[in-house]
Amino acid sequence: MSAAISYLRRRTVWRSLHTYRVWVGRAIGWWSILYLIFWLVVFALSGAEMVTTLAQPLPLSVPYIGTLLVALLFLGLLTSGRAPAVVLDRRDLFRAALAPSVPWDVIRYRVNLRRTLVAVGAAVAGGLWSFIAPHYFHVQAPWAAPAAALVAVAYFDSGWLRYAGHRRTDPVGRAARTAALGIVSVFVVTSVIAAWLGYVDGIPANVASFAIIAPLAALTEASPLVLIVPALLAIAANTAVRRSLLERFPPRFAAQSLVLTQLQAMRTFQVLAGIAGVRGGQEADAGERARLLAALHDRPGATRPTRSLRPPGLDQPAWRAIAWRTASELYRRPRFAQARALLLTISAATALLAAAQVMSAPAPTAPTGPVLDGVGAAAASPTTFAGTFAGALGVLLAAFLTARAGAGLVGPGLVRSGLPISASDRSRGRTTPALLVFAVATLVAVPLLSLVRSATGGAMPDPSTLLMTLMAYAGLLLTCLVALEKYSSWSGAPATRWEPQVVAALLVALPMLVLVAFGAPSWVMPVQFFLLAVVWLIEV
Amino acid sequence: MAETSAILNVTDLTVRLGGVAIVEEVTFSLVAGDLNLLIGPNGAGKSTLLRALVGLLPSSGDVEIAGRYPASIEARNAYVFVPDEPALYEDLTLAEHTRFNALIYQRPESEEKALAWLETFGLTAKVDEFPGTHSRGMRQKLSLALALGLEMPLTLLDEPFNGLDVEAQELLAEGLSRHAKGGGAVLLTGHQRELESLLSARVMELREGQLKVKAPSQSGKR
Repeated sequence: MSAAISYLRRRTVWRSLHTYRVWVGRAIGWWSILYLIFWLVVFALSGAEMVTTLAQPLPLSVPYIGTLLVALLFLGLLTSGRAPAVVLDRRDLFRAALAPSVPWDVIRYRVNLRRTLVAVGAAVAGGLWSFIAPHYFHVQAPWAAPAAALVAVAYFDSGWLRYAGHRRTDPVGRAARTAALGIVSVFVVTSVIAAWLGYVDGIPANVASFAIIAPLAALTEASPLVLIVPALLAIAANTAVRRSLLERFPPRFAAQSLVLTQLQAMRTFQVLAGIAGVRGGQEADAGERARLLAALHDRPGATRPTRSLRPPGLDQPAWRAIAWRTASELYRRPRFAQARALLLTISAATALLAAAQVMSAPAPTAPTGPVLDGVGAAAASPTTFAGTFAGALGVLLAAFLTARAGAGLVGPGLVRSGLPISASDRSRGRTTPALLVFAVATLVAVPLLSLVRSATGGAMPDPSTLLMTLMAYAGLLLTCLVALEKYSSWSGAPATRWEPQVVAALLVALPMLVLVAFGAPSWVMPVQFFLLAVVWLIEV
Repeated sequence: MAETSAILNVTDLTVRLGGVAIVEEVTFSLVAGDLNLLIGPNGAGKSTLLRALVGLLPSSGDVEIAGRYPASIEARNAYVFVPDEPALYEDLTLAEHTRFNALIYQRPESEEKALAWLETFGLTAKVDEFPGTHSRGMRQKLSLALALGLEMPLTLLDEPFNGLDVEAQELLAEGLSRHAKGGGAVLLTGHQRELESLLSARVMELREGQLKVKAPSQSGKR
């Protein structure tokens, strides 16, 4: 390490740790932490004592399958490499990375920190395996912890090598790509061979002993030789990482570091704000995050919109402006996001339509068979759930799904009382585009639900039943969207959070839940519309 | 045609972000002794251009610093870049910043020079303090002192006059002129018209991603 970086880390790291130690001591208290650790150890020891040795061991195919899954993870690395696993913060970037220093020196501390974290995590998992393997699989695996740590480090380093070689044609980039490919190939090939040797019966013992070449052979073998391959992989990956950073950072590293550290700071801020109970701001931050990521990948539409809706005329009412703003946000989303939102809306519309059918159907007046049988009524009519508590729960679930879909359609919130508009104008503006999307989704949902009914042997509804169902559907949908919008605006919680969605769903299902409990299911529809009127008239 | 003795050669530099060209096919060069002021309205792409020069933003076209690719160690040994917002270690004192700077650039003499600049800016009494407790202007002064103390062949400064008091602005203008006279090349950005009179610099104007070169100002203090 260069003298400059050594000088920097000696001072800044220890001072940061000291500051952190003081902060934790004041904010939480070290005695409290020790107390928690003590009880965690006690619980862990108690749990360990409860583990008993199985009379019949579990099949060894379990660790082999586990090894193959890890091999799949390594294979997955070949499709990655667009973003770095480690970034430099702004200070290191401007003060150290732009200076004539060796890049490896600058980034070494952060890489080693991440390596340590992944190694410790993997070692804990490996240690757990070492403990349970003799009890559950009847094999000794004392080296599982170090082997898992070495494999985790090799995996992490291979990820960096994929990034360092991504779309590079210079010798350093090619070498990094080749090294990553080599490590992944060795891991996958040796894992597959070892799994085959261990899994197939009838292989001579001297041949089967070659299973030790697997990087995760430590899961089933007790010999220390199992560490050779993971150690070689880790050393090879480590060396290749260092070589990839002797002259310069990968081409987009600096730019990506600037953006990714901003995102990291935003996430940290959001977490801290959440801990402190500060609400709001998440929607704006999510937009900023998406914009930064899109700019990072030079994605069209990140800086200048690729499509726009015609704004309403200046003589139009205020709610039209809000509706235009909400619709523009939907319209400017990437196509994939639009398709996802539409699919969710169609699912929600179908579920809500089914719920409306249950709600609008006449409740059975008397059981058609013995109550304990519980079959007679169910077989007699598809509207069996009408007027039942199970039907009310169905309405609740469908309403929650509708609220989830609606949350993605009502657009970003408006600052409460920050604009000279009425609450009803705001609600009207935000819910109108969502209602239009739901109208389109309903056109798909109606035949979809009919198909489901005919497939399950149900009869097609007559026109009057369909009309009643659609009326009930409209009541449920409007109540759900309006309640969602008003509650999120009133509470300041974004509609995309669980809280407004749960409140909206409960409110929608409330008439049926209550009236069924009081034995008056025929009143559900009128009360539902009365509730809609009340929710609409509340000026929040 | 790029000049062979130029410390900075930029040919057809284009920066595209989020599908929009921020800087488009910009070509210019700087030689030793050049003092260049890059002006333009907000959002013209001044900072983007400077960041692209040092590889902080992806770009197309050719950039050479001291005849080398900007990310190479040889090129990084020839320039210093000061961002618009000071990038300082909150847990290094001002004096420790000057030591670290001298070490990382392998220029031992720059420590004394940076301390001298801090003295010029009136920060001698603060050198043992952490910059986190200082004002934006004081942090900017430290950032500038570190860069000016290095006396690199090429100095790139993004909005260096922002946050400085009038006296510090004049001191900085004098320092930059002195550095250019001594053979260093300077490229700085700004959007105040007063800078044209404060600095006797060649003015380059960036507007809608396109670069236009104006004649050097004669009313400067140099």
